[in-house]
Amino acid sequence: MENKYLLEINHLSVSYGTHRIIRDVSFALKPGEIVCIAGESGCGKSTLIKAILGIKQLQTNVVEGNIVLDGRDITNLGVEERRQILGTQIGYVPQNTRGSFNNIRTYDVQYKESLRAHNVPFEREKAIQLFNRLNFPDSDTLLEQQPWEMSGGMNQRMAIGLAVLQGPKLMLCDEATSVLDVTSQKEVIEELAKLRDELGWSILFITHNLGVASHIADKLGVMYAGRMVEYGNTHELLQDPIHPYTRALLSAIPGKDRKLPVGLEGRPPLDGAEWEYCNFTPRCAYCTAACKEKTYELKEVEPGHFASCAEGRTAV
Amino acid sequence: MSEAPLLELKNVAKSYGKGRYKKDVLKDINLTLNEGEVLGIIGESGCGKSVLLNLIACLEPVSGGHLFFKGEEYTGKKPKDVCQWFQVIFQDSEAAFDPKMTIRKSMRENLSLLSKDVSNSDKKIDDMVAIMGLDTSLAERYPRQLSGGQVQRMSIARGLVTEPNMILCDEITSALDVSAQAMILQYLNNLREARGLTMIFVSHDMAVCSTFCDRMAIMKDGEIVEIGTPEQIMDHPQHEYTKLLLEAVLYVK
Repeated sequence: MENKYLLEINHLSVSYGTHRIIRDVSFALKPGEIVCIAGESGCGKSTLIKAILGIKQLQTNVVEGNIVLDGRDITNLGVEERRQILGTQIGYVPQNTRGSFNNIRTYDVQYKESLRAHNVPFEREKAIQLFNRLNFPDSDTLLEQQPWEMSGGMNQRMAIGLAVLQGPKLMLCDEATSVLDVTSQKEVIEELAKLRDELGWSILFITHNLGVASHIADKLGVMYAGRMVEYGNTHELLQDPIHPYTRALLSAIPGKDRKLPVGLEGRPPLDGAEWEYCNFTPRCAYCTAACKEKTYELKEVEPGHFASCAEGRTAV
Repeated sequence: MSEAPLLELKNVAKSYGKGRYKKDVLKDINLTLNEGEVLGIIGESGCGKSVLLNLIACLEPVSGGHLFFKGEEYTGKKPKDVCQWFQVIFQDSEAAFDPKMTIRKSMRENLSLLSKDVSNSDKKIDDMVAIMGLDTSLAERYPRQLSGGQVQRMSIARGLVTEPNMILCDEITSALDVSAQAMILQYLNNLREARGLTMIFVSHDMAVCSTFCDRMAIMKDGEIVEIGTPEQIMDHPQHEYTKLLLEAVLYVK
């Protein structure tokens, strides 16, 4: 049977120890698609990436559900098997790439070392070709430089370059542009989009910046306190947000009209993933007593557009 | 002659290091700020925007130029001489509070530095905390027991409780979620409307500045390359760098 999806997340619940962080999150990624998961700090978006990576030391514990990569269940792979798919099948770009490179060794050495660990031959020409294709400045001398000489944006690009050379089908980016200046951020995003167009990559992109998401993603998921509250095509979701939280989040972003953004009082519950009913109720403007009777459920409100709640929605 | 502006900077420069290690961080900055005005300073990392705030608040000495407050020169004064005029609010407020003191105690300390009379300080603190939209019981907590947005609002309250002439905000919303950021902008805007608060708001986010600043200054490599109202800067940018920055703003499509 042909696999329609590259990555499938089915009813995933993740905990650290006994503390549940993510509950019942499902979505799927087709080859060549960019899916963005957005949400505020503490909503569990990074934990989601850690669970997919499944590295033992990260101590994520999948309680329920499974993660399927290209038709193969990778939820409970052993250390050796996991080592074979990380890097070569799943690439990862973290937020802080300063910590991923040794500051005082050349990229050349570090690229070689990392590629050798994944049994990928290092070809200098190939690397430089890639840098050229991605419009990296000074591409022929980049490999001789050391991370401390570089700006944050360049270092981030070198990390993306290293991930690409290992030839994964799926790329996980955890806030990969959040530490960058606006100008570098835009460039890195454009490069990622280019990679997708040219190499047919699939990218799972985690961000708290809906502006970034709207520029890069085909599909967008909004998470709140460990739960997916809305999921759909980026354009439709942003044009016609259904869930009260998505609407509040959007009105808190300064827009082109230069109106003062509207804030949202309070903060997400820390044990939000444990709640049976909608965990946005304490901050929701449309919350009624009935909300606390209903259990959380992601419903297909419109074709391909899912939301767990449609209270107070005004039709567009 | 018209009244002197609240703050005036003339040819202010700052450099670090000596000889061939000398690095000019700020070059020839000229700025005036009137009472009740909110000025946004925008630039990428390393352009010198935080250094400029430090110089204004006398946290660092200037290497050249002159600073004027209400027409009087104050170049070379100590931070404690100018802290009744300026209060600085930093990006990482949790680090700006003493972790072993309750918020209220930190605020009391700030008040007692400026005046001998501390009899009504608790009332002042309660009022200011309420103005920032927080429950006064939160002042009894330690910084780590509050969320990032709450600590930042407490830190603004701590700055304002001494009734300074102006506050200097250094990237105060950059580390926060959009919803917390929007709350802070709202409260600052209320304060401006109610009390005519003067502010310098340093940020790298043009969209944020454009929503509530009266004027925006664009900085690059230690120089102000363009200054104007949000309409001028956002709709009719003149300098190439401003255009570049504007293109990079990712609005939600």
